[in-house]
Amino acid sequence: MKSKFRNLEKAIHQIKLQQMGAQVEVIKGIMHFVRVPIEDITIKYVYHINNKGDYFLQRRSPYPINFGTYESQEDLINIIQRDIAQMKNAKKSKKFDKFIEINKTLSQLAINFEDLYLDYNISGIQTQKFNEKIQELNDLISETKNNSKKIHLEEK
Amino acid sequence: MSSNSQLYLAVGIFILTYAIIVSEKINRMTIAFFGALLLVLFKIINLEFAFHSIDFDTISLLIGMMIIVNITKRTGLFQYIAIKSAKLAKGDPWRILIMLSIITAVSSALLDNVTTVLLIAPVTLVITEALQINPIPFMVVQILSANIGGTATLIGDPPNIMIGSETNLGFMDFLSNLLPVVIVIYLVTFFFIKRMYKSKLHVKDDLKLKIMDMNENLALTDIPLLIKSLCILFLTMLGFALHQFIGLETATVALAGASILLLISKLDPEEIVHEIEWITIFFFAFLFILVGGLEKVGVIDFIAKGVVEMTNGNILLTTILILWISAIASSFLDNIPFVATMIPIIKGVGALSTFNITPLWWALALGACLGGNGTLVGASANVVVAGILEKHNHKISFMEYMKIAFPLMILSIIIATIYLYVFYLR
Repeated sequence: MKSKFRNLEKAIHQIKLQQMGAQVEVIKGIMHFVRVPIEDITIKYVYHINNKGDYFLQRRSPYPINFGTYESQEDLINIIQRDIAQMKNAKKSKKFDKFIEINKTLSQLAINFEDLYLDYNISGIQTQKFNEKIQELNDLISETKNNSKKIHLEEK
Repeated sequence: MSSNSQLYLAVGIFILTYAIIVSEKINRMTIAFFGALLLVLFKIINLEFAFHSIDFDTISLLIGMMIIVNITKRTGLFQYIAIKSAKLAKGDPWRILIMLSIITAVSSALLDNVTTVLLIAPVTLVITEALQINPIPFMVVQILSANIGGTATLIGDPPNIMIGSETNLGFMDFLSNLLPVVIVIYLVTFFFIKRMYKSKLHVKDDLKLKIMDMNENLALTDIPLLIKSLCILFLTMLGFALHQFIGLETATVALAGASILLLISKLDPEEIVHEIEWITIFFFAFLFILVGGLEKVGVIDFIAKGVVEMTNGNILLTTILILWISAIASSFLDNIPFVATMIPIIKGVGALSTFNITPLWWALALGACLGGNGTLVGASANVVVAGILEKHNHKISFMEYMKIAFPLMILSIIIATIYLYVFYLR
């Protein structure tokens, strides 16, 4: 019975989206929820294997990020493995909590900017200000990269 | 083990299995599987007998039709028809209700009831949401229409499939004997539906425009597949109509349609076969084994003798009894195990009597199919619709539904009684 209700919900969404003019392609697949505890935090991933053989991977926590689509499970596992190693290493740093906080703020910033852009008529001067601030941030990232020692996880 | 012990054990296993199926405490397939297994473990039947008890005609017909529907529904045909009809009704809710009811009744005569409801319900919910109107009247009417429409043909409802498979009655026999009374019952039911709902279904004109803005063509996702599916559907229906003349079973026709459509559709067979309702198919198979066990130990013959003695071999009394018992039982119980048990009993009555038992089959079909309308648990389609409504925050209670549907079901059985009396028993 559960699958009947699921199919029905699927059909309702499909009709509504089609009536908006969307083309809906239904591909069956399996969702995987992965949890990796690292000390007091849990890194969470979700990936989806579909009948086309594609793997769609996202990290949900500690902050969300889209990793994209991969064609082999080897690539998928490598990405997760590398991400966990990086996170484990980052966790050793005293600045880890700050790093997470900044990333969460950046994610929220992107949402706020989209809301602003879509819901308000913004002047060219304001848009230019945003560009300048973004450029400043990018410059700060480059400057920090240049002044910091690169971490080579493989060597550890 | 003595034959008496076998008899008591078989009856005990059957009653217990039946009770658990009715209670819905355990999945009906799981418990039917266990019950059938117990018959084999206690050596009441052996594995070979168990396999011989399975009615593969019924199973094959169900699988064949499921494959055809699974492929056809991917084209968006049913959504197209529903949206088109809502637009033809100019967004007027009462007219839409009539249109969707007719579509449900006709589709249900050609497809399984639950499948029909699952195909029409999503569009109905989208339409009622756009009209900002309560979907309950629409969905209740769809339950009634699906169960009434499904009564009309051999393939419309599982009880009819089982009856057709176990007798020499073909697709055209069902159509010519049941369709006339089904049309009368549908019209009478609709007369009362009109009195109940028409005055309540009004919406503002600007909401009607939302329906007129819908584009039915957007629902069609694969035109070449649609053409192939329509051709095969037509040929399959033609095959059903002619199966007695060309000497093929309805199951063969359905499997042929499914096989050809699968071949020409070029769809991934894994996906299509995966969508077959295997739980239902296995439930049927295990149920046939359970009833086979009862037949082997002589219980079915015993009941058949009892029926003949009780009615004194009077065909009028036997027919009316089967019609009403089937209707009342099917209102509250799953009609599939009920019909699976009744079929060998009616065959037994036939073997012990001198009269033509054909009216008994029509009584069983009418009672089991129409009885499903009586309560919210009377048929799978009802349970599905109730679940859909609840998920969409429009709960309909058991009593609320029964107040509307039970009197209509009784009315339909009165009409069926008159029909059977006038045309078969007088």
